[in-house]
Amino acid sequence: MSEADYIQLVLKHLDSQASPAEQAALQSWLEADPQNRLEYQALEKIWNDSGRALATHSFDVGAALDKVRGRLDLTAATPDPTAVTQVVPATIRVFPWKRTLAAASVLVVLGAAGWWIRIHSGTPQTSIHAETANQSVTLPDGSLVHLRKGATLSYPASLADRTVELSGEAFFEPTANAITPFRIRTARAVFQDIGTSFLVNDLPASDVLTVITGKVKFSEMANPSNSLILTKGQKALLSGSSFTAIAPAGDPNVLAWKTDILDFKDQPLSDVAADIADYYQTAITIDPALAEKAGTIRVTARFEHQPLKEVLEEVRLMTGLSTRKEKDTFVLYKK
Amino acid sequence: MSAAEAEQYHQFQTVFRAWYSPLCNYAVTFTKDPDVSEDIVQDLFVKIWEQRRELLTETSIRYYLFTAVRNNCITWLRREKQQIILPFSDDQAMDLAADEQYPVDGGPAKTRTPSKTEVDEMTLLEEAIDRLPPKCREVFLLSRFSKLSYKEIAASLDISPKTVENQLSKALRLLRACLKANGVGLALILALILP
Repeated sequence: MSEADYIQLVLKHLDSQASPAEQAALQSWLEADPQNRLEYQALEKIWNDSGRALATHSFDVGAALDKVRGRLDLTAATPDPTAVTQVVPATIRVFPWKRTLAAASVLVVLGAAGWWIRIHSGTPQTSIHAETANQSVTLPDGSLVHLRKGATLSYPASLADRTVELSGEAFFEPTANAITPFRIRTARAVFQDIGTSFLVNDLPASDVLTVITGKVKFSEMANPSNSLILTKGQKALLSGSSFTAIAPAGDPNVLAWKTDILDFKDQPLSDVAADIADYYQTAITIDPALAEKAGTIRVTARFEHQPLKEVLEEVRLMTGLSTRKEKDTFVLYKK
Repeated sequence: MSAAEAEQYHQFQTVFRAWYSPLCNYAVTFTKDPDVSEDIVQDLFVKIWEQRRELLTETSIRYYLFTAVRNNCITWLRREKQQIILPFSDDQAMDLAADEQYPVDGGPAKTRTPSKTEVDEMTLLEEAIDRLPPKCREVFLLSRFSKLSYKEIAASLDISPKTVENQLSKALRLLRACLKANGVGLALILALILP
């Protein structure tokens, strides 16, 4: 195959525009010569890097949105019962194309099973369930909540005490308000924002909090004095009434469900498999026969808005492994 | 705010957050000025809200945004810089001369001679992209920023999808050759080797 031909195939593949026949042609070209795989990786790297190299400036999206909003002919804003005099939407700046991930104040909470018993049973409740897709919600106080598919957010219609209830995973961008801090409750924990924005996830067995930047107070529901303040880069789990510190929150893919970007930089295959499984809500395991070698297989790749099929295809191309499906689980193995 | 308007504003905000930075960076490739680029993109969003609100829910919004930003940048360049913008045509001839000057051999066009350790891959890549033949660069930039399909890129630039494909391949080939000539290729081989 001529250089022009295979470049065209690689390009179509990277751009997610290759037909099945073209995929097959690419695959056989890759298998024809180990040198081809290196060539492929070099091209892929240029393609991926170019996306980043081109994002030469970072822009303050939050400030820009404020500015534009001021120019729109919006009718009177929703009455604000909390009388927040200054609504300053916190800005999450996750620039997928930047060389370094811009700072974001992020917190992940994996919460407990069972639905929090409503403390506001007397007041009208608003409940939002992100049933089929991720969903973004603007709260009455201007705070933004991004719900991961499957999550449910509930709050009193007035949001007077700025306390919301959550099951599932969500990313929060609360407005600044020193008098009434923003709080999130799950079945067994309360999270109080001391920074600007955070991510919350509510899982069956425990509550997990990850702070990327900013500061969040994490306390047990039944015993509020049992609490912990986490800052940038920290992660902790609450199970029963004991907190456990877990691995630092350095995983750039913690927000993948929101950004639709999975980014791996020389990461061990096991981490890659776990992140992919979490994003696509599926199960991926590594063949036990590979256990010894698994740690030495490292992956550098970037996926944006790509279907699982393509991601697995890419992993196969990069690692030389194959996949098979066992019930609902994908198994990575060496032929 | 009525419920319908709140819903529309929510859509607006979602589109804005998703595409504001890529659009601004795309605009910078024309204007070379981040402030002007932000103004152009913000004006466009205001205009969408005022006149084309129905677009917000459509999948073609991205196509519209990138096409409009490009057009507005060109208008701005014409007005502000009195720069002559060549019409974008399917005629390949124009590129040939530029191709020949493309410094794939690391030749005279490369002025600085940093030591191997100083070589910043990203900078090299930025420079290499900058030096792509104009038409090739234009297709490449639109593709990388907008992630539109070949068909949409073709429609936006008023060329054929085949030309888009050819120009993108050419871009990748030239970038690869340029980086190879600069010795970066060797470093890439470290990526992944199975035991």
